[in-house]
Amino acid sequence: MSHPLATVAVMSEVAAAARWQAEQVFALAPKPSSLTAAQPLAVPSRWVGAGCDERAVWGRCTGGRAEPYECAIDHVAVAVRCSCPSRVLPCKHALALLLLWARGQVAEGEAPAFAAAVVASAVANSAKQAAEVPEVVAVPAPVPSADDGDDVGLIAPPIFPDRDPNAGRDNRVARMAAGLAELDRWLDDRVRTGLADPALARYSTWDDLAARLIDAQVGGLANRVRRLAGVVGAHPDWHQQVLSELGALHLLATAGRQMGSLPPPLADSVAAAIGWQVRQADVLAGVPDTDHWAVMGRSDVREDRIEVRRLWLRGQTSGRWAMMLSFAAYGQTLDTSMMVGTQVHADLFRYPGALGLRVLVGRRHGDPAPATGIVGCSIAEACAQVGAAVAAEPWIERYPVCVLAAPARAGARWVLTDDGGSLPLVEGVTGVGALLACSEGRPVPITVEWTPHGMVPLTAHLPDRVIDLGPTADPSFLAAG
Amino acid sequence: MNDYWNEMVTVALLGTDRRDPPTPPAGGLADLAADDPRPTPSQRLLQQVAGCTVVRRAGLLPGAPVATVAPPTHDPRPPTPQAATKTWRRVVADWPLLEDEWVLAVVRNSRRLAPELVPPVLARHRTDANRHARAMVAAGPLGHWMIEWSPRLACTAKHPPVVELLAELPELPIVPELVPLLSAPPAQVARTLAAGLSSAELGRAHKAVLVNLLARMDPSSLPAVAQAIDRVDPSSPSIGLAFALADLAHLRHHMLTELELA
Repeated sequence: MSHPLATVAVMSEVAAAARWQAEQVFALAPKPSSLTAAQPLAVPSRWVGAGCDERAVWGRCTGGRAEPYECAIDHVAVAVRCSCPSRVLPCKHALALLLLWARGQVAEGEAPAFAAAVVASAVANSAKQAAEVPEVVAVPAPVPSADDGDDVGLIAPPIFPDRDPNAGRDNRVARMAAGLAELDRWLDDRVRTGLADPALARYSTWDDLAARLIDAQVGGLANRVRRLAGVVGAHPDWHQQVLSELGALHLLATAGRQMGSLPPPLADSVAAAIGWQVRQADVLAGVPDTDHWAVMGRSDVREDRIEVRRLWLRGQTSGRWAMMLSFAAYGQTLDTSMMVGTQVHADLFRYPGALGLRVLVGRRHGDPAPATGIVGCSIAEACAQVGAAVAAEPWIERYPVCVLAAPARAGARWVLTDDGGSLPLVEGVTGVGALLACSEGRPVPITVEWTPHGMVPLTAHLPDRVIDLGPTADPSFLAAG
Repeated sequence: MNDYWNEMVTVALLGTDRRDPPTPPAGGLADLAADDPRPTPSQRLLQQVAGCTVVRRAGLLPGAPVATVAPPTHDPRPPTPQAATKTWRRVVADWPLLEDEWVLAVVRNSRRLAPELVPPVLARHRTDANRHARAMVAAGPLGHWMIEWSPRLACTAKHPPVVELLAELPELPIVPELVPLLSAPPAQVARTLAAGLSSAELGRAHKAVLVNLLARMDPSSLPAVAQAIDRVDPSSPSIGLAFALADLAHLRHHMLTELELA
C-alpha cells in the first residue's frame, strides 16, 4: 500500500472520475445543521435535470420558489456554485446534490452551461498559480435577472480554491499539521491545569476544539473529541477514561505530524484515523482479497448526527477480519446487503493501513448462503488477537473476535468465561439478556467487539440459528426499509 | 503498571502545575522517556499517558475464570421458528394489537418462545400482570431462569394476574352493526368489506373499528378478506385504508400459520 501523501498526490490525476463516498460529503458539511438541512433535498424528486460527468455534478433544485436553484459542483477541484441566496458554503443544495451523486442516483450526462462555468472557473483558478493561496476565493456569478427569482444584491457564491491538485493537497496537509499542533497544545493545557477543571464539564469546551479540528480537516479526531464531552462526570471512573483517550489523541497528534517518517502502512493508518479520506476508486484499484466471507457480526453506533453500521466479515479460508462501513444521516437507510449469519464468495478491497480492516466489496461470485463451520477461540487467544491488533494500530477503538465462551456473572458484572479466563462485557450493553437466554449459560461461539471498556456481544452462533445481538440503530432516525 | 497508572491519574486530576508526574517504572516506558525526553512536566505526562494507555490495551489479559451458571430446566416444547422472531418484531412495530394473539398462539400450539425473544417479551409486559403471566407461560422454565439472573424482567404490576383471562384474548370494541361479520362466512365478509372500501362508504373514520374487526374475526376468513381488499379499486378514496387493512389481514394470517406445528 502506498503512503497516504503519495496516494493523494496521484489521486486527482488517475481517479478524477471517481464518485465520492457519502462520508466525504459529510466531511464537507461546514456544520452538522447543514447536513440536516440537506437531507430532505437529497431525493431525486427534488431535482430536475440532474447529471454528472467525470468532472462535475449539476442539477436544478425545485422548492417553494418559481425558479429552481441551479447548483453545480466541480467534484475534482471541489468548487461549488449555487444560485441560492445562502452564504453558507457549501450550501444545503450542494450537499444534497453530492449525496445523491454519492449514492449513485445521478445519471451521467452532458454538462449544461452553468455547470461548465464552474469547471471553467476552477480550471482558470488553477492556472493562475498564485504564490499565496487564500482560504476561499470569490468568483463572479451570473448577475441575477429580475425574473430568475434570486434576491437582488445577492453576493456571488464563492468557490473552493484549488489551483492545482498538488497545491490543494499541500494546503490541506499544512492545515492538518496546524490542527494537530493545536490539538497537542490543547491537550498540554488540559493536563497542566488538571482534569478537575470545571471547564471540562462544559460541552462547549470540547465542541469548540472539535470545530477547530474540523476546520483543520482532521474530522476523525474531532469525532473522538466530541465523544469525550459525554464521558466527563458520567461515571465514577470517568477521569481514567478521559485520560486514556487524551493519551490516544496525543499519540495521534504526534504521529500525524511525523507521517513522512513512519512506515507506509502505519502512516496510512494514522492518516485514516485523523480523518484523511481515500477515494473508493483508489481502493478498488488494489489487489482483491477473495474468500468466502462469513458475516460474523453487526454493530450500529450513532456518531454525532450520523448512524454508522459496522459489518464484521471473516474469511473462511484466511481467517482474516474485514469491516464494511455504512453511514446514514437522518431519514436515510443503512446497508442491508449482507445479513449476519450468511457468507458470500466475494472480492474485498482493503483500505490502506497497518491492520487494513476496512474494505469495499467488489465482485460477488455467488449468492449468499448460510455461514457454516463457525468456531470460536479461547479467551486467552482472543486477548492475544486483540493485543496484536492494538500493537499494530494503538488508537483503534474496537476489534472483533469470535470466542467459545459462556456468559457468567462476576460480582455485579457480566463476563464471558471459559476454563482459561474471562473477559468483562461493557456494563449496560444491549444484547446480554438475549445472549444469556440463547446460550442458557453454556459455552457457545460468540462474536464480540473488543472496546477499551469491555466486550460488546454481537452474535451468538448457535447450532440451529444465528442470533444478531449487536447494538441497533434507532429506527426513528432511519428511513423505513 | 497499575500503581503507576493510578499515580498518573492523580497527577492529571490535579494538574502538572500543582504536582510533577511520577517517574516511570524501569522498562519500556522508562526507555521511552529516555529516548524522547520532553521539556515540560505536562508534555512528559502526556507522553507517559499515551505509552501507558497503549501498553494497558495491547497487554490485555484474561481475568480469572468464573463459574458458569446452572442452565434452566429442559423445556420439551419446540421453540418458535426463527422466522417468527422477525414476525413478532413486525407485529410489535406495526400492529401491536396482534401481540396478545401471537403469544396465545405460541401457547396453544404447544410451542415455547425462541430464547432470543424471552427477554424482550417479558420486558415489554412487566407492568401488565395478565400479559406478563401469559408471556411467562410461553417462555417456560427459561422465563423463570432469566428473571433469576435479570430481575428487571420480573412483573412489576401490583395486582396479581386474573387466571381466567390468561387463555382469552382481550375484548376489542366492535360496533354492533359489524358484530355479525365476526362469524359470517368468509365470502360474505370479504364482499361486504371490499364493497364498502370501493364505494368509500368505509373510510378513514372507520379505521379503528375495522382494525378491531379484522383482529378478532374468524382466522379462516382472513385469506379471502385479504384477497378481496387487495382488489379494491385503486382510485377509491379509501385505498390507503384498504392497504392498511390488507396488511393487517395478511400479517395476522401469516403469524398464525407460521406458529402452527408441522
